[in-house]
Amino acid sequence: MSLNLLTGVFGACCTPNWSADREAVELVVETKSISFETLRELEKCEVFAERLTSESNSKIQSAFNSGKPGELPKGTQFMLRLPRIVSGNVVAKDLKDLLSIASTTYQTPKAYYLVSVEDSSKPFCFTEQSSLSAATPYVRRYHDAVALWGALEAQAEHSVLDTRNILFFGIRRTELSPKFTIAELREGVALTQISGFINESDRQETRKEIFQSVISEFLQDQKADRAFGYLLRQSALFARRLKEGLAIFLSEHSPEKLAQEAQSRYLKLAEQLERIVGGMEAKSLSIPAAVLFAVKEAEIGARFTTLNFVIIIATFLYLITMLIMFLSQRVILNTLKTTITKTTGELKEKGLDERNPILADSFAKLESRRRHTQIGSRFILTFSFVPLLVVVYSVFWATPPTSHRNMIELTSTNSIQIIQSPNIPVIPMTEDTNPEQVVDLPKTVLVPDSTQ
Amino acid sequence: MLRRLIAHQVIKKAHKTKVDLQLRDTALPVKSDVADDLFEQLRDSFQRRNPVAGAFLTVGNTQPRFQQILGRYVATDSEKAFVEFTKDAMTILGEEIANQQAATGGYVVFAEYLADGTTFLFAALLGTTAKPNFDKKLNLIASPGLDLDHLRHGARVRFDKVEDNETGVVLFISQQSSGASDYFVKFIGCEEITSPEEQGRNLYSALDSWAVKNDFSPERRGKLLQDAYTYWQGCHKNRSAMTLTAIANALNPQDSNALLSHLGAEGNLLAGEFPAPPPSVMKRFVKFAFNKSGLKLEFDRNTWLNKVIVNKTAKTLTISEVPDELIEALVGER
Repeated sequence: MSLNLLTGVFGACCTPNWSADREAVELVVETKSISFETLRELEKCEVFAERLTSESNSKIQSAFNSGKPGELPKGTQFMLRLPRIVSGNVVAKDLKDLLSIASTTYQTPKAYYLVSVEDSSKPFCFTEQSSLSAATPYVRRYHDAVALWGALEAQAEHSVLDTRNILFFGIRRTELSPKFTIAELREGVALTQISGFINESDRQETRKEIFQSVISEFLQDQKADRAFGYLLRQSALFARRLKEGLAIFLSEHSPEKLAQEAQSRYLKLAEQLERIVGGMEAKSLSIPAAVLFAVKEAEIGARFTTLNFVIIIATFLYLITMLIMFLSQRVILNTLKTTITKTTGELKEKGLDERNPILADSFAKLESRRRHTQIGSRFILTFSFVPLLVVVYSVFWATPPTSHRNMIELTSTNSIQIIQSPNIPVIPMTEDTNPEQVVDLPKTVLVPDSTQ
Repeated sequence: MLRRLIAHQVIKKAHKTKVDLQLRDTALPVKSDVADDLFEQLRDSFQRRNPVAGAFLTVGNTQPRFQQILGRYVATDSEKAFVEFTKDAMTILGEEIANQQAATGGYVVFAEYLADGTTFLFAALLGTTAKPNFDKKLNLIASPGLDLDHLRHGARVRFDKVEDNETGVVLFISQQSSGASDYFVKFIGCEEITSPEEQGRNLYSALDSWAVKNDFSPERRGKLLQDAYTYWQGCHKNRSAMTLTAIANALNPQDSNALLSHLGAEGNLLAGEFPAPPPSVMKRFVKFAFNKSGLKLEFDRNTWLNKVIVNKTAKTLTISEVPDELIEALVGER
C-alpha cells in the first residue's frame, strides 16, 4: 500500500490531463502496460481508476471490476480519481497545488504524492519522515515551514481555532495566519536555529519572553495573511534577532551586573529600614518623658480635677498617636518583608547563587533586622499604654502624698520656732492667716510647708 | 438483439407426480413484433425481480447437466442444436418438477440474444392467468394469458463464461426463501455466488456511465453517488442485500424504470440483488455522510474535510471557510 506506485502509473502514461479541481486526472497508457494489481493496490490509498476504455479490449472496465488479473494495454484511456485529504492521502500536481489545499500550510499530509516537483520536475512521494532524504530542497523547505509554524503555535499566547491564526502580545499585538506560497520557499528556512533557541532548556521563560518580543518587533508592519510568509523569507534574520536578543539579555544579567543590582536593591531596602528604626528610637524616648510629665503634674488621688482631666486626655491621645504610628510601621515592615523575599527570589531567578554574600549575608541580615524592628515596634506600642495607665492610677487610686508641715511655735520672746513634724493634722491655710483665730490658737500652730 | 426463441410446455398438476412435456420442434420466428414484445417484457419482468448472481454448482469435477448440454450447444451454435438443447433441458426440468408436490406446470421460454457484444440465454417458466376479455359476441369472458407480471422462475446465462464457470455466469430469480420452488434453480444447476466488491465496483461504473450518458454536472453526479452511498449505508447497517430496484427508486424516483433498465443492462454485470459491498469499495462513492438525530451533514471529503476541525475534548465541530450563503441561511433561521 503505497502512493509510490503512482510513479509507475504516471511514468507509463503520456502527459496527464488534470481536471480543473485537480481531483481527477485523465491518462493514456503510452510506454508500457499497467497491471490491474497496481491500480487495485492504489485503491487502498484512495486512488481510484475509472472510465477504462481500450480499443483492443472493449470490456476492460468490467474486467478490472471483476478483481481478476489483467492489465491496461497501451492506448488505454482512463481516469484516476485522486485523494486530497490532509489527514489521509494527498495526490497533487506539484508543490504549488499541494499548498492550495486547505490546512497543508500548517500540517503536512499523512502521505502525499507530487507528480512533478517544481525544482526537479520529478515526482516525489512522502510516506514517512525518512522519505525526506530523497526530497528536493523545495519539499524539505515545505516541511521546515510547517515545522516552524508548529514551533510558533507552541510559543503563541493565543490561537484562533477556526482560522488557526496565532497571536503574540509582546511589545504589541501581532497576528499570524498559516499562509505562505511556494515563493517563500526559495530560500532555506532557519528552522534549526529557531527551534534550537526555543527548545533550549536553559532559561525557558526568558527565551519565551525574548521570542515574543522579537516576533512582535519583527512583524510589526506585516498583516496577518502575509506575516508568516515574510517570516519564512526572513527566517535567517529572525533567528539572528533571537540570538542577539538573548545575548543582550545575558549581558544585562552578567554576574557583576547582577551583584551590582543586588547591592543597589539591598541599600535601598536597608535605607527604608533605617528610617523606620530611627522613628522608633524617637518614639521610645517619648514614653518615659510622657510618664514623668503626666505623673508630676497630676493631682494624685484628687480624682476629677480639671488638671487631671486634661492630663488623662493628653495621655490618651498620646496612646492613640502611638497606635496609629504602630499600624503604619507594621504595614511598612510587612511590605519590606515582601520586597526582601521578592527581590531575593528575582535575583536567584536571574542566576545569582543563593550562596552569594549579597544574598547569604546582606539580605539575610536585613531580614533579621526587619524582624527585630517589628518586635521592637510591638514593644513600643505596649509601653505606650504606660503613661495613661499611670496617670489613671495616680488620679483615681493612688494615696495622696502626705504633706510635710512646718510647726511654728510661738515663744515667749515672740519668736517663731519652726519644727518639722509628720503627724499633725492639716489645717487650711486660710485659718492660718486669720488674726482672730490666731488668738485662740494653741501655743503651737501649723503653717503649710511652702517649700513642698 | 434477439437471435433465437422457442417455447415448450410442461404439464403438471399440483400434488401429482405425473409430468407431461409438450415440446416444440422448431424455433419461433424472432423477426416479429410479438416476439420482441414478449422478450422485452420478460427481460423487464426478470430485472424487476432482482435476480441474484451465481455460478453452476459443480460437484467434484462433474458439471450439472444443464451446463453440460449448454456447453455443447454453445460449441455448435446452430438453430437445430438450439432446439435440441432446449428439448434436453425440458427433460431435465421435467424430472426436477416431478419431485415437487406443490409445483404446477407452465410454458418454458428459451431466448438467445446478443447484448453488449456478448451472447446470453434467457430461460423462464411462465404461468398463465385469466384476464378479462370479450368474445366475438361481446360477452365478457376470462381469457387465459401468459402471466408476465409475476415471473417467478427465470435465469440468464452468459455464454462467454459458461466454460470457465465464472462468478456471475448465471443470474437467476431465487425462490429459495419460500421453500417451495427451488426446482428451477436445481434444473439450471446453479448456486448463488456473488462478489460484493465486484458488484460495488460495477455499480460505481454503472452510475458513473449513467451520469456521463445524461450529461450530469459534477454536483449532480456527486449527489447521485451520494444517494447510492446513503442507500448502501442503510443496507450495510441492517445487513440487508442491495437491490437494483431499490437503488433505482432511491436515486431516480421520477423515472426509476429508466435507471433500472440502465443498471440492469447486461454490460454492467450487475446482479439484481447482492450483499452490501464492504466500506472500502463504497468509500469512493461519497466523501462523507452523516444523518442522525435530525442532523444531516454531507460534504465532499477532498474539499471540506481539510476545513473541518474536531475538538474531541470540548466536543465541538468547527467548519471554516463556509460559503456566505450558509451563514446567511443560518442567520435567517434565528
